[in-house]
Amino acid sequence: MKHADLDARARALVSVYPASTGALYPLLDLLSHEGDTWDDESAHWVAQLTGVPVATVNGIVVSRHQTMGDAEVVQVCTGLSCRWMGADDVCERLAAHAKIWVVKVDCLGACAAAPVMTRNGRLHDGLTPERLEALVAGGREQI
Amino acid sequence: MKEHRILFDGIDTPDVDRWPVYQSHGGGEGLRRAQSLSPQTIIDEVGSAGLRGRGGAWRLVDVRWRQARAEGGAQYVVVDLLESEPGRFRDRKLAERHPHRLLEGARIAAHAVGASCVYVCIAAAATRARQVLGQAIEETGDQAIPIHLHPVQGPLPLATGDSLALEVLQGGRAEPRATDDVPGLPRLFSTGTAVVHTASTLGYLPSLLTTAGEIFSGVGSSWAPGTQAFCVSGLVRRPGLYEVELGAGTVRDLVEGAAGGARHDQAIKFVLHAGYGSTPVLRDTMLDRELDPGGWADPAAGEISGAFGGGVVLVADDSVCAVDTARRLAHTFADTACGKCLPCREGTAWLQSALEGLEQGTGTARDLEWVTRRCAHLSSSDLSLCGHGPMAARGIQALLEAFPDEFASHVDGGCPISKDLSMKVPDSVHVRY
Repeated sequence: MKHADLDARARALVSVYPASTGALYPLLDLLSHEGDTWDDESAHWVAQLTGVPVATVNGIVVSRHQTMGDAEVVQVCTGLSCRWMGADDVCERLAAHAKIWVVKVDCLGACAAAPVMTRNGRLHDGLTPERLEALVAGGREQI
Repeated sequence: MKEHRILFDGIDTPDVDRWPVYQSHGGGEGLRRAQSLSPQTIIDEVGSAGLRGRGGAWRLVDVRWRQARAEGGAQYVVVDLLESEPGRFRDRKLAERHPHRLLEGARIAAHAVGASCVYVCIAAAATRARQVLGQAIEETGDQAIPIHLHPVQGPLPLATGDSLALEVLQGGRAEPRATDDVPGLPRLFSTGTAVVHTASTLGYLPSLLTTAGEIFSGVGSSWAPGTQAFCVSGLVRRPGLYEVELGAGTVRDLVEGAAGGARHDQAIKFVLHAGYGSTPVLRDTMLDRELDPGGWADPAAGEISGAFGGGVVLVADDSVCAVDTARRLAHTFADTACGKCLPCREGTAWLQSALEGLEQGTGTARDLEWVTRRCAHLSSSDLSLCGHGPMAARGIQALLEAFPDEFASHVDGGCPISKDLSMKVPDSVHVRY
């Protein structure tokens, strides 16, 4: 059972759509920001609130989320602009560090400041070898 | 090439993302005036100004609005801020730095078509834009037309038209609908209809309404009045976001003038003027083409009659391999394919595999011929519900046509080009906005 506050916020989200199915993506977003664990209870809770079948809910979640144990997940943009500006170099340097899981993504929307990466939604652009090393040396909170 | 700001006018004003500052610089005037006019008058003014959608299709905005009115009005305005196309960052920057302009434009559109509600479909990863937009919505308080943010987790297909935003709004998978080409307004939540606009299209409305369309007078080309903000990235000295007058310069003026041209000791090899789906690929000798979408839409323009695109400009220099670029394109399209239509789902993955072989030296002449035939097959728009697969095929086809010798040189030997994959720093980044 989700706690009352989360439930109330979820129902508020559902209320802005004429059909409850509309709240599916915002609810998934809400749960991801709450740091909640995705499990059967979550899937059924979202399905019940939105009227979207559990299988569809799980299908969308599986295709959109990745969990990597306790490794730090760093997204590195490998779109054309970032690739040309050195994204492979960024990936190689990050991969040399244990506890950093490098996820190559197609575009992070900061192409003018390539190469770029994100960690926990925070964007780091204009990467250079020095900047990257400083970010890695700063530990989990700095990356 | 000089900048001409309409969409991003006032962007340098400190704290213009806050409502009091925006208002003190004339913000909100367009909506106030719109509310004093009849919807028909608004539509006529937007039609007289010649505003076209900035997402890449360049359709006349007033035509869709007249259609909405003829059908008794649309219940919803949907703002497409998903920007799933790699290389595009204009709408996100508009939301981050000029949120009230976007919201005002959305409310003007809603007033014009009779909508009672606005949904902004935005990439969940655009955290800054979401935060700023959310704050801006709160600042403007309760309004007759509420605006709701609708975050969507990615990755998303690239060229799905309006249908992607409509599908994810209803809790569906990020897949296109079969109804995109059906006449009439698209349905939303089964009870209503919607008009969908790219965020930057709506961003022009406050200025247009404030000036009764005069701000477009004499600006831009006759086919597409106004400006376009181009996202220029890749191997240039000054990548960034450049808002320039349409028809007042060439691709060369943009990439060599405004963006500074290739980096030191390098030369421009090609420009993808319309992002990943660029047709044709512009070699250095083809850059003197006007930045006027009307000219590109003209089949009589011969070899250069391809799509003008939505303002994503990627610049490659001599250190870039065309085959590697095609491989990367195929990878992105395969990675983001929704899987609904088999030719796209399988075709993009096959193309990626074949191009990887060519790049790594295991590809044969037969593989190259196979890639050519597969692209011709996949580029048919009859095989997929949306433009994702055809866009992939045409982008790769265009590279094949521009650099046939380079592709041939990869057969049975791999890439002959010495690539520089190290991190690079441009001279500056122009206007991060």
